[in-house]
Amino acid sequence: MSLFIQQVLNGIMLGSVYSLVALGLTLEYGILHIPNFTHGALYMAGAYVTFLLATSAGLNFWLAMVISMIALALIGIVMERLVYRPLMLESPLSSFIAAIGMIFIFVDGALYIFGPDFKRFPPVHTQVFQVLGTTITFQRIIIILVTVILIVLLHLFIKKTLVGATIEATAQDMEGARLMGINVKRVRMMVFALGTALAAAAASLIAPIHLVHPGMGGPVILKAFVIIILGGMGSIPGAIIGGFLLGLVESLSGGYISTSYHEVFSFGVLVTVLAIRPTGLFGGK
Amino acid sequence: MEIPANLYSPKRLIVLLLILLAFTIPFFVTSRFYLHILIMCFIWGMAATSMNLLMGYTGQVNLAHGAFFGIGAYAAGLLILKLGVNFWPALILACMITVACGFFIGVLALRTKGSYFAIGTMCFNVIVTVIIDSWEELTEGARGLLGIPRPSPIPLPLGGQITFASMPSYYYLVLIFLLLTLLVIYRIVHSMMGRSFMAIRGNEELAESIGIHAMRTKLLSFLISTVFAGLAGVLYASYIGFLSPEISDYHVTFEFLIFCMIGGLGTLGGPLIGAFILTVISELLHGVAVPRLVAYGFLLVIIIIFLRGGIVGGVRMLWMRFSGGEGR
Amino acid sequence: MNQKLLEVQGLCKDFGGLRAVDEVDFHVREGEIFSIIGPNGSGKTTIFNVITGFHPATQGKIFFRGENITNLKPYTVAQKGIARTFQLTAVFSRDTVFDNLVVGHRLRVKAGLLGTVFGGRLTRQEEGRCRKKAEEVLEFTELTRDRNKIAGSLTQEAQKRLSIGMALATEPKLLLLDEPTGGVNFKEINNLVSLIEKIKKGGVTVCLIEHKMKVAMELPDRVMVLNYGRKITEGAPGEVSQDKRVIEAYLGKSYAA
Repeated sequence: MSLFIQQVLNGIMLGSVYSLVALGLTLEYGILHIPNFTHGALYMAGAYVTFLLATSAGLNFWLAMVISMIALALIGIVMERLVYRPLMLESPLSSFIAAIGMIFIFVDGALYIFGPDFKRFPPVHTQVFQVLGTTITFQRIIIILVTVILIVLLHLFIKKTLVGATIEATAQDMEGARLMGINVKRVRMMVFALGTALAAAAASLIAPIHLVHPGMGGPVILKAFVIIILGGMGSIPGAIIGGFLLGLVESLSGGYISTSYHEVFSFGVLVTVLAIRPTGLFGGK
Repeated sequence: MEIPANLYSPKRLIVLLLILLAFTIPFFVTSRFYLHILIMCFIWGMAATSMNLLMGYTGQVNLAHGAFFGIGAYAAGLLILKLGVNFWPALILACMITVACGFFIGVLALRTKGSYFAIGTMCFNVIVTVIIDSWEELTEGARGLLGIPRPSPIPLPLGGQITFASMPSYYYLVLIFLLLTLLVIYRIVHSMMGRSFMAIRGNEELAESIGIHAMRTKLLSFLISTVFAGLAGVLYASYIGFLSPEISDYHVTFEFLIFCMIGGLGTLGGPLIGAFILTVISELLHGVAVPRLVAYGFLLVIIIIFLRGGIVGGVRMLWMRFSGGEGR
Repeated sequence: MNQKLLEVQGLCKDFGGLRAVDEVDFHVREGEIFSIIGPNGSGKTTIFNVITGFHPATQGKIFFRGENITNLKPYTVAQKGIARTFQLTAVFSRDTVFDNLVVGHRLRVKAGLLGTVFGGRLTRQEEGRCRKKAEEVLEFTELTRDRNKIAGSLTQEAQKRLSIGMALATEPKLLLLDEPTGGVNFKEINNLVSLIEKIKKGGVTVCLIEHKMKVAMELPDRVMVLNYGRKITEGAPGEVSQDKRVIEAYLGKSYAA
């Protein structure tokens, strides 16, 4: 029983991280209409920035995370402006290749600058609870809490502010939005900033537990893709629900079945779903 | 669409010269290092050219190509090492195994389109790599498969035999297979079958309305491209002699992708040229301090933004400008 | 000869909650030109889409030459001898006009893998047939001068002719034309009209969707009028244009009285 609770909690924690990443990805997809493959590399970059600030500069963890989110948001904006914008009218393959190019730059750059070893940094909160006979670290609860706060903030932003409305409008119909006087360029930049910041947040949150290394973005981005396909590319609720679901599936299957094949499970689920519904669970096209 | 060039056109002459040059290289290049680079270029070129059939000519972004390269390599390696099969039948069997996997994956993946297909195939790629890595009793997992021998000698009719232990002999072996690959793909591209592929690339709905069976055509293109990926894998296995799960990894797929893009998607020579240039650059930069992939990355982004048709596309544009266009 | 080439019985098509086509029955006789008209959104293109297999029918049956072709896939329908054009002109815009037409005949040849790779005689003959067919169609649609032009660079009218040509290259018995004169100016309409008449003379049955009254009424032998997915009436152009219900559908009650 206690193993079960551990796994469930672990799953929800993983799910939080996946949700944040998937959210950023789905927001970007809603505007770009192509999946941003560089998202994983930016996730990794976010973790490193937080790591640097928290260790070498000795800043408070939360401060470091916020600064990292801002820094990555800026990088996201630059990327959108310099790379994705010129390729807007080309075939999606071009954007995809450009994304791969950028992945190389980020990942190998990180490899070169920081080396391949896993960097650790001390968890922020080391208190430990006992619930129903299981040991739970406060750190994990914090991750879930922060994620929920971020999701709620995002929801409020999109639904309750004018800026959020412009984002929704542009995601639905770029031409129409433009005709309504919405500055589509600025919306694109903003969405990128938002999406990248979310990735940075996710990476920073999980970093104390899963450590930081140049390849950390790879598996996460693949899972994020699984999530947004299952939940519907461009759908926010889909990303959130899908993220938590995947986290739970992974954790439970990893705990009860086998850890080396747990990635196969996630992808197996995806492949099965696609075979039955080629446009994803909630996909429209 | 490439209009068949007439028999004595400059393009054909250049190609003939290049083939002749390729055959004579081992006579004046004796350095093992350079021969090694060329052999690797040929192997990567085969893989990239076959990926191009599905991606450039049929318009489907298949991100599982590296997996098939790996399946071919591992199939051959395992058949030779664990079942004691001779190289030559192992080669054929490995290709058949690769096609069988290709069929299974293709039938599932081709139900999807566009980005979904890309991501779905990428997931398959990861699944294959994870299986190779984890199924240790079969594949030795991360320890790797060691000691794959060179091809067994071929006896000649008048006594004596061709052996493949030396670099030049393996060079010729790979060269011949490369030319074979290029020939087959050339024939396909310039045939009605090739036109069907390109019709699907152009507009799948329209292609269906003129009677082209989209799923069957895409699957055929998929299978052909996997055969040659597997073949390239077999040649790699026997040459390097050592395999680890990384060779089926999605990074490998991405490298093939880059060769195609930089050389020119949808052109026959493009992927080969891309493979050449990047392999040479990467080998030459081996000891240099600048991280190689970072350079790749920048190169890629710049080429994608500024030179859409890759190198071959750029050359074609220049050629047309200088020869005043050829009615096109 | 005047057999029913195409017969549609009780066709219904729903998109979610919307009924786009509601119990439509009609038939097209061999050798005639049959046109379907109706205000925008009356379900005309949807009928074409269901006949050619792009959307499955919700209810109803479709017979072609006596054979039930309901819900067959588009490529099978094309194989059986029904070709179509699209409202939004569809050609392979990156290929030349000639290449567009050659691939149109592909469905009538085998193009097997072995033959292709080894260059067998049969394969070469089949390819020759496709090219020959393309030449014929080039001449028929008066596009010979433009044969090496890239399809995407042609004028709208020439692209319409090309898309009709591609459909003809499949050697159909029935040609479904969806707004063949859409976006084309007055002078060019006559070119397209004479092309369609040539097609009828060549023995191909034509069914067309049209908005331009001149084309929709003068060209066909029979007309069917749709409104909100239902058939209002059917008959010779002269009768239909006088029918009160038709006038009401297009211009409103005040004009019908």
